[in-house]
Amino acid sequence: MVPLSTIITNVRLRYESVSGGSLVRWADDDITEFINQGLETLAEATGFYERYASVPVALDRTWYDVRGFTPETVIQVTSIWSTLRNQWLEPIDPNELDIWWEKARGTPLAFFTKGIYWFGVYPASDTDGTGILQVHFRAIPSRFTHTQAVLAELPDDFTTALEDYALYEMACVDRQPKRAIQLFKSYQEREKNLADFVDHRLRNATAGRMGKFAGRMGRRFV
Amino acid sequence: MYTFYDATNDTLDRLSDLENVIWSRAEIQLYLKDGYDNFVRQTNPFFDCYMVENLPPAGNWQTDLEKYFAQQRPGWGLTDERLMYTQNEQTTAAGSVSQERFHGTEGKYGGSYGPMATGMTSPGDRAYVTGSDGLLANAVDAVPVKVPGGTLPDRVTDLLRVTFNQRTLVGISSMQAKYLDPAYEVRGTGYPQFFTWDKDGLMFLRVIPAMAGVAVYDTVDGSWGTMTYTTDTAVTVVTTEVTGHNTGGYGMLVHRTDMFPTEGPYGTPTRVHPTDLNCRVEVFRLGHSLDDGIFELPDNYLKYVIFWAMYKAMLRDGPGQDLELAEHYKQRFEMGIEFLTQRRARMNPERFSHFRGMGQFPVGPMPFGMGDPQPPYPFGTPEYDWRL
Repeated sequence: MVPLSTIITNVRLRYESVSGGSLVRWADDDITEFINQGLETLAEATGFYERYASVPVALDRTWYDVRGFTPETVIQVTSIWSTLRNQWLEPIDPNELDIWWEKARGTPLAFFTKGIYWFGVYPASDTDGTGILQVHFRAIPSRFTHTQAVLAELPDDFTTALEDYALYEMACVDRQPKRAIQLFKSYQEREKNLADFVDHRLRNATAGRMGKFAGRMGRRFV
Repeated sequence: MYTFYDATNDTLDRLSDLENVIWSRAEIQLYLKDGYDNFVRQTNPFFDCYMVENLPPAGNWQTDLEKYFAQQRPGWGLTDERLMYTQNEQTTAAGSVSQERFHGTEGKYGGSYGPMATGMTSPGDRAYVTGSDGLLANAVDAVPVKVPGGTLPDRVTDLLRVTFNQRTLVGISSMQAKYLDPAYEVRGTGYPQFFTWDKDGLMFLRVIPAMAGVAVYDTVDGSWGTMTYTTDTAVTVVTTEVTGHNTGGYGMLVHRTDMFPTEGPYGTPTRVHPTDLNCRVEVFRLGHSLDDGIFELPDNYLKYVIFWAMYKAMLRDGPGQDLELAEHYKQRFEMGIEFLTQRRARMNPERFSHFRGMGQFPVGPMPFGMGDPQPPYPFGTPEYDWRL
């Protein structure tokens, strides 16, 4: 785990080596701001930061606002576990339901999302305070604030993406567009590598389709 | 929480012009507002629900403030729709003068006179207006009760769904409505089955048939002001102390479990809208006005708004012009739109299929527009492929 102070040091080192810049050109706060923006951009693009929040099921309630249940900015709800059914809710498009779906009451079976803040359940619950929806999501991690802050979820080798992003922002402010664009391309390559890693973690370990035993496990047993 | 003020400073700081030598704060704020609306309109991040109240578009008031809210600031007072008090606009009885006069408060407040509809003393009492075919039984006091639709807030960017009585209405074009019934605009009232949104003014949503103004609202009973309880009536102040604390009754109501907080989550409810016999509209909308000083977008997306402002600033003729960087910032703005749009598209990546089935709920052929017979909800018997 690489602390913020190390990332700042690396940024300074790289900035000075290419531009001959001075130590006083950029304050630590400025560089921290750029690193944090890089962190947010990286999380938006790759979804590497995975969390879940527990949402109490409420009577007659169709819509839930994720802002009320987690301090992090949710960028993608991936799945929801219901303790009422001991089952995953099925993600659906409510347009596939019949026109009376909103009147139904029972134990939630399915969920859908609207905009960036809201998810809905079908049917709305007919009981209050007896169950939890465990909402799994991808999010924007909290910003680095202290120099010794670390982000365990980000593999160490990808902190270089944050360095590239900070240097890119600095080059923009310095009005060096060509250098800025080069640095941004370098950042984008690292971003793509992280996105590939996040999306294809199961590439070599998957069991494939149930019943077919494809994939590594299938090859071993079939 | 990121403020408009912060964003202006941030943009100027990035432009190295905090002293406003090249760009004024006003100019940057103009670009920020433009970028904010542009970003939100293209990505549709803000889901919201509004109510087209199934109540007569008539009203009354007890104070000038109430009248102002009812007429000028829908949603702020006791009604979400603009109310009209002039005879010409809202009633049909020939020769009648202002509705304000006929339904005044006997000169108590607001400077109006004359007899009023029984019990109707405020915008919130519109449910008292009853009658048939759009008029009170007493034609002299004619008040229309027919509600053909309502005007959506002008910040709506997309319409997702319209319900009446919690039933999804079918959206059709006005041309289709004409085929269904050429006289659809002048028919009587009933439970709406369809809606149109293409002919009656840019933001006016018409329901077919028109509603009869019969939503059952709580009767406002008591003092005016911020709601403290979950209904408009029967405010119960619980004074029983439990472990040294009062168990409730005081303070401001901030939400109600089964209600969608329109324009939320900030603020306090001004009215409880029933969904029974009422028309609810689900929409995407623009963010709250930046005149309030707060961006509604999560902080991490605000950089794209700032990139738009920088693109515009660097595009302008003058000493700060940098076309190459301007183009780059424009691309960053477009990348932000792409991120957010993609994210919404991939919101359900763990949607899994039936075993050996397909990943989507099967959508059958629809030869007659009805679709194949389906179980009441999509979790019925799996469709097994018996050939395997």
